[in-house]
Amino acid sequence: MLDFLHELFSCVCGQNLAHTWSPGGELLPCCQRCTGVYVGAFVAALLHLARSPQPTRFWRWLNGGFLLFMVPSGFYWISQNPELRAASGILFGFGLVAFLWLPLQKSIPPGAELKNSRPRLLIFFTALIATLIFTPLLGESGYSIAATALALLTAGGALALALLLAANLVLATRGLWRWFFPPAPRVAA
Amino acid sequence: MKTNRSLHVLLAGIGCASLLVYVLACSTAFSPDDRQVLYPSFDPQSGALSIALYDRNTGRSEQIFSSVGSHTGTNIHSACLRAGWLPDGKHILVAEAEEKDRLSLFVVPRGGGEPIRHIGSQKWDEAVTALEFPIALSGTRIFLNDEHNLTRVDWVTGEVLVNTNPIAAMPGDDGKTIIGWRELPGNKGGEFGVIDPETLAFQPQLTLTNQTGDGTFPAFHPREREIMFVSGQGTNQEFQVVRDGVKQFSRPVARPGCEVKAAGLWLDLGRQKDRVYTAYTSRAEGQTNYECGLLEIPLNEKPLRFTPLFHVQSDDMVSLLAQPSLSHDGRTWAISSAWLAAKNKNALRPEDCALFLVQLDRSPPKITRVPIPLPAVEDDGLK
Repeated sequence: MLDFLHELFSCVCGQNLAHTWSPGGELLPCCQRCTGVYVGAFVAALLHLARSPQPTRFWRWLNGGFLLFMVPSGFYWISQNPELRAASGILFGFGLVAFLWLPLQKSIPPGAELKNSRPRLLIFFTALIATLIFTPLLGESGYSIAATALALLTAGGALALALLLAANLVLATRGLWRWFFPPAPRVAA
Repeated sequence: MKTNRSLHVLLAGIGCASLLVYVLACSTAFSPDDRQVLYPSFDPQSGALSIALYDRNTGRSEQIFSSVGSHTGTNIHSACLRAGWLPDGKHILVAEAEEKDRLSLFVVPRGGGEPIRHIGSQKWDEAVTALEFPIALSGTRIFLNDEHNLTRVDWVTGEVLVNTNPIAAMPGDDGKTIIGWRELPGNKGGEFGVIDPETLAFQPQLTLTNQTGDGTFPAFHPREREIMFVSGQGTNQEFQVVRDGVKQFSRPVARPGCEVKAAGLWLDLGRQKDRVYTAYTSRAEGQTNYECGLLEIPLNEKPLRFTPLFHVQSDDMVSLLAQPSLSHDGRTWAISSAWLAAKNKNALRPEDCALFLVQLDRSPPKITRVPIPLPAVEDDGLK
C-alpha cells in the first residue's frame, strides 16, 4: 500500500528524503509538510462533516491566517525543524478545508448574526492542537503501525481535498452556466 | 445574502489557488537539493580541482570551493574532494584529503553571506578512504571511514568520536539510517547491517560469504534485508540481488560486440525500485577509446540500457572521484568527467570535460551537458 501511495503522491510532492519521516523504517508517501497538509485536511473535513462552523469574520480571518503562514514557512524565510514543517502543513490543511467548505454551506440569510458556540470552538481547537502534537509524534515513532496510520490519514486528507475541489468545480460550473444562460422566466398559463 | 455568497466563492477560489500553488511549489522549489547540483570542476586560475554548483533553474554554474589555500607548499597538484549537502539544504559539507594522511572538513554556505567554516583537520591512516562513498549523515553528525576506524564528527559542535572497529559507513536511502559494512576475518566475506548514530554500535543483518570482487559497491536495504551488487572481475561481471542470503535474481553485465564493465563504484536504486543506475565503461571491438556513460540495470528481463556520455583513452576510471548521484526525486542522474582530467589532462577531449545531467523519465533520456573548461595551468595531476 505504501508503495502505491508513494507513487501516487509523487505527482504532488517533491518527496525530499531529508524531509520525510520513516516511522518504524517505513518511508511515508510524502514529505513532512505535505503529510501535515493532508492529515490536517482530513481532521478538518471530519470536523466540518460533524457540524460545520459558522463562517464568522473571526473564523475567516483565522483560517486566512493559517493559509498565509505557508508563505514564510514554504519559502524558508524562517528556519524550521520537522515539527514546524508539519505544523505549517496542518494549519494550511485546516485553512484549505475551511475555505473550500464555504460555498457548500447553506445560504445565510442577510443580517443573520453568526456565532460559534464555545463548545464548538473548544472541540475545534482541541482537535487542531491534538493534530499538531500527534502528527510529529507518529512521524518520529519507531513503530511501523504509525506509518500505516499516517499514510491512511494522508490518503484520507487527499481524498477529502479532491472531493471538496470537485464539489467546488461543479458549483462553479453551474454558477457560470446560469450566468451565461439564465433560466427563462416562467410564463403563466 | 448575495455579498456573503460572493465573498465565500472568492475565498473558496483563494483556497483552490493556494492548493494549486502549494502543490506546484512542493514539486520544485521546496526540494532544494534537487534544484542545484554539486560537482567536481576546476579552479580557472589555479587549475586545481574544485567544487562547483550548477543551478538547474538558471542554467548557471559557480565555483564554491577550491582546494587552493588549504595546501602547504605549491598548488602543483590537486587534492581529492567530495562534497555533499547538509540536511538543512543551506550548507554544503566538503571533505578534502590533504596529502595522504590528513582529512579536512569544511562547511560552505550555499548562497554566500557567511564565511566558509573549517570544522576540523584530522589525522587519517588513508585519507581518500573517507571520500570513497557518498557522505553518510544523520542529523548534525557526519560519519567518515578510515582504513581501520569509523569517525563521527558533529558539524555544528565539532565534537569527534572515533570507533576503532573496522566498519565502513554508508548513507541509507532515507537520509537518517546509517548502513554499515564489516569484513569478516580471513577474507571470508562480510556483513551488512545498520549503525546506531548515537553509540556507533553495529547491528549485522545480512552476511555475505562470497566476496563482491572489485565490482560496484552494493545498494543495501536494511528494511528488506536485501542487497544488490555487481560481482566479478574486469569485464566478466554479474549483477545480483540477494535476500536473506539467497540469490533472488542475477544477470550478466554484457553488451554485444563490446567489452563492458560497471565502473560507478556506487549503485543507485531507482524511484520505482525496478532498476539500478551506475556508471560504465565500454570498448567496441577494434576500438582504442572507451565509451563512458550511464548504465541502467532493470531488475527483470528487460535489456540493459546504455546512455553514452563521453569518451576516454583508458578504462582507468578512478571511480573515487566520479561521484555520480541520483536526484532525490529519482528523475535525474548526474556525473562530472572533471575527475578524469584531474588525474591526467590528456585523458579526454576538451569537449568531453563536462557535467552531464541525464533525465531518466524520457526515452531516450534527455542529456544536459554543462561544459567544464580544462585549466590551462600545467600540473602533476592528482597524487
